[in-house]
Amino acid sequence: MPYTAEISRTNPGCFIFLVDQSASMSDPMGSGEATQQRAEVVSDAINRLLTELSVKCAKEEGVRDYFHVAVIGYGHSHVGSAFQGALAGRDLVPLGEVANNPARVESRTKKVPDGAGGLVETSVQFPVWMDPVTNGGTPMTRALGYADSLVANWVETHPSGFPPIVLNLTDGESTDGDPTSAAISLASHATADGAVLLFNLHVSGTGGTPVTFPDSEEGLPDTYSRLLFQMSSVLPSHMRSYASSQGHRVSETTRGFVYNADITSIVEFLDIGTRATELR
Amino acid sequence: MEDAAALLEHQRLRVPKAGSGPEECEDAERVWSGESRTDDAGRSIVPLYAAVSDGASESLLAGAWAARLVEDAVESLALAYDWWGNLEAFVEDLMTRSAARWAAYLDQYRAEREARGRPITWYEQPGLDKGAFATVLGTEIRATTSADGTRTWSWHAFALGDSCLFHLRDDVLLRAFPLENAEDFGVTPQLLGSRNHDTALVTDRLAVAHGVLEPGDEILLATDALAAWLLSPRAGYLAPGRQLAMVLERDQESFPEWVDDQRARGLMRNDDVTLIRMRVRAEA
Repeated sequence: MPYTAEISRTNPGCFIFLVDQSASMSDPMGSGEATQQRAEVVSDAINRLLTELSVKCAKEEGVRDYFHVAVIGYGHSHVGSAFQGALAGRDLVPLGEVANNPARVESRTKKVPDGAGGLVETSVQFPVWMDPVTNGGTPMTRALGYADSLVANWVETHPSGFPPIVLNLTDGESTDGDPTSAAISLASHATADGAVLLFNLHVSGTGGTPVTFPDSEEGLPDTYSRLLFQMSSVLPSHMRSYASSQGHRVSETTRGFVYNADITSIVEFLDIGTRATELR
Repeated sequence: MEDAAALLEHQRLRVPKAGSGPEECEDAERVWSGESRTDDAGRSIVPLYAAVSDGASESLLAGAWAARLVEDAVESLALAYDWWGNLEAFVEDLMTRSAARWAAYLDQYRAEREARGRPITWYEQPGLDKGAFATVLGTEIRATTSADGTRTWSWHAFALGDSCLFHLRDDVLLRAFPLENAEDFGVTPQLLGSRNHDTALVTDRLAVAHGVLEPGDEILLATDALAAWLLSPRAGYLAPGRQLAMVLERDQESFPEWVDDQRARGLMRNDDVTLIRMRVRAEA
């Protein structure tokens, strides 16, 4: 059965994040009160995804290298590593090294239940690997091509491992042509365990209802979101069952696509061992 | 008549997941002979207690939690005498014991990290807040000898999660507990969390079972990868119980090699493997 290869330190997985850093990303998400710059939404998403992935793979005194991770920015004339700090310029980095080298760790306040029905502010540590960047065009086709070369090399050296996962975070407006064929080419790489998985997070100012892991284009607000939906891989069956157990409505055509909503839960879809779940 | 305790034999085996060192093994096991006693009916009771626990790989300090749970389990089993008679009291005793021991361990762990200049990091904190998780399976094997010399053997077990007990006679599986099919194993077994203090819920979820043993019978306690293997008979192969008996009787040292071989052939999932094998030896 595909997508069942063990993910471990001896058989690591590969996670590539593609981050839109174009000028349009400085636009707000919506027109509501709590508007946030799209680039900020995306850099927050990346920082939280890397945090969740590190926490998921954390053991005592270290994070295990169950994954090698790249964060590739695209905008202006540049496509390349978007890591800041000690990892600047690096492509695929073992997760343990990622966890030990955020550019900085911020202290943020968070409201948590006080146990007596109210909320209390508490301070949490928020590691940051990249800040919002907005500059120039959206060379999405080139970015997918960049991921293509990383993936090609990965599947050659890990031919029987879990296939690479590429997660593209964008506002959808590619400026270097229709990215479809680059996406098809990227997703055509495969290990013995299955083809590359390409997922997309679309942050948009178009508005409309946020959509998480849809199984059809119906309800998506514009051509960009429909294009990104079509480019997204169908969720493998174990990810689908996990999504379902988390309350998402899924079918056999559910795709790894999220519109104006949180995609961090994708980290929870990955099987690296026995999950620590409370007794119910 | 031979002494009952001398008729109870056991073996304990542990093989870490391929790619992990022995210190990274998050399974734990404990076997304890306990003390013989005389019950209210004047019968002599000779017990043997055993427990296995499998720490959940996605939780922090899971191995330490499992190691303490097996100690706590055999202590609670031994102290309760007929523990199955009042399950809620037994669970209460086990959870109180484990909570106190775990709190002390955590304090010591944090202090030791501070002292080494390696305080808890941001990626460890959420896991520590969530707590450690593990399965737990405990059993008591008992010889009951009446004044007239009649001796009977029995086992009683409790389980939370997918660590399993197997009752074998002539290497053939008589009973599997609490899971009975290889398909029942997944990545979300029921687990005891170190921050779970809901005695009623745990009592409700705990599975219990018992059976009667004949001289020559075996009881195996196994963590999930080996348990799933034992529940997967394959056409053209010997029965799993017989295969395992042949490996263990030939040479205990070859067990890790045999596990490696089963993994390499895709017949056993790559995970920590723990086995306690107990046998009631027939009298000479």
